[in-house]
Amino acid sequence: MKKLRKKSVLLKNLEEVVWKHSDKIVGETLDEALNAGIAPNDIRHALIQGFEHVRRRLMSNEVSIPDILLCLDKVTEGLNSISVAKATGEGFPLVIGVVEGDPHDLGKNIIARIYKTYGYRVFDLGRDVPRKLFVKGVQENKAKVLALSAMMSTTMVEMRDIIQEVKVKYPRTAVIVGGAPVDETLARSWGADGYAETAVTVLEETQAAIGRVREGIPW
Amino acid sequence: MVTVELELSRSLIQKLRNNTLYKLGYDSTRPMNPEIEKMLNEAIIRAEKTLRPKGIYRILPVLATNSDGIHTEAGIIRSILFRRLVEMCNGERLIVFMVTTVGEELDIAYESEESLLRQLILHTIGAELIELVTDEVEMDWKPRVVKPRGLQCSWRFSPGYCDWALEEQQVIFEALDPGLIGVQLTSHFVMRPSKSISAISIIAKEVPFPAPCAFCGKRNCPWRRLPRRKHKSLVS
Repeated sequence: MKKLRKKSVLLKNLEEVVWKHSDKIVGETLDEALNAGIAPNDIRHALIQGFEHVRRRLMSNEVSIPDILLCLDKVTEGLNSISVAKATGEGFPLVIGVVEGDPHDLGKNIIARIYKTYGYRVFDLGRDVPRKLFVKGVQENKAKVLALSAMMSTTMVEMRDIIQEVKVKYPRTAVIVGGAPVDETLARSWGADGYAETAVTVLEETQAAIGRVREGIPW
Repeated sequence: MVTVELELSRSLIQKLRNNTLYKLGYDSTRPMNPEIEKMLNEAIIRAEKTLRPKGIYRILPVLATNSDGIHTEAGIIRSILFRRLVEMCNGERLIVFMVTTVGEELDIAYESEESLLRQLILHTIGAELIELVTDEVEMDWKPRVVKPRGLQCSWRFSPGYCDWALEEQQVIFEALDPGLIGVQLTSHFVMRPSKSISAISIIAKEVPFPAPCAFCGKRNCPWRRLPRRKHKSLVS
């Protein structure tokens, strides 16, 4: 009983160190949890719960984007320490990248990190990625999801061509798009399976897109 | 062609800090997490120590305007909206071509950064600093060319905005030699270093509107700088 209570306190501490302003650092709290014999998956769950706390507050505009990134950095630090591969198991393979000609990758980096945190097996192709590399990435990694990003109106049209090619060759791959110049109407007209408006909603949007592809329901 | 090297003065750094805070979503109603504030302060100090922003500009007369655009010695500026503004300007008309950059050090720092928060801070500092730097470069030519001659000028206008295609960067790069300040164009017409601005302004005896938004009826444009209705006394 005492051991269970200690475990519960340690996991709560870990959750709080992610979202609370505290002098404690992730590493110390994590070491305490590991030394107490807590399983990596429980630790991972606690870290994600901490992040969820901030994600919900961002949805209601109580915190700023820097707050959520600070938490994501802490979660990453924690997951790296416990070896993400062991802790996450086999998540959906997901290919992500910024389309050719576009050098803006901060948004993509944030989204890729969120996917990774939530257990997707992320294959990040980087920025300024030619169409053929996206197609190759989907094929080689048997991607369940392809996430495309563009931040310029001049480069976003490349998404349309990538979507068309991928949907013909790999119809079971859900394609989700995002970026400043894109909106849901455009995403639908290009044949995407989903549109991620913000980092806050990307997980739900992606799940919905995967579901639509699995069930064969057009968006 | 004039090149300008800028010192980051204390007042500019203070402005940079305030603007960055605002863009990151903080104001008097939303205090900053001390951890984030520490990172921001470190990044600003680093920027102050390592960045040496530069600018280059050249002023050329408008040779003519027609359906192709605005003709200058450097080439044609193909924006219908800006051409309409230029056509409404009275007297001698001059185009200022400008390119500014904060330099590649910021890109290098960003590339090597694993922390998403630090990436965001560097990105925001760069985006705000380049605007301030370009204001400073404008202050190099405005007091010499505009004010003493009783002229007016528009706000700066960049390729990729309104109806001026990004590909039209080339006319600015024809007018100037931005390589002198370390700025290059990629094959997709994007500038490297990433925190760089290319722009033009019109100088004339009378510039009726500071931006070509006056001639644009587009609703809900996120970049609109003038209201859609009639404007008065808006020229700087």
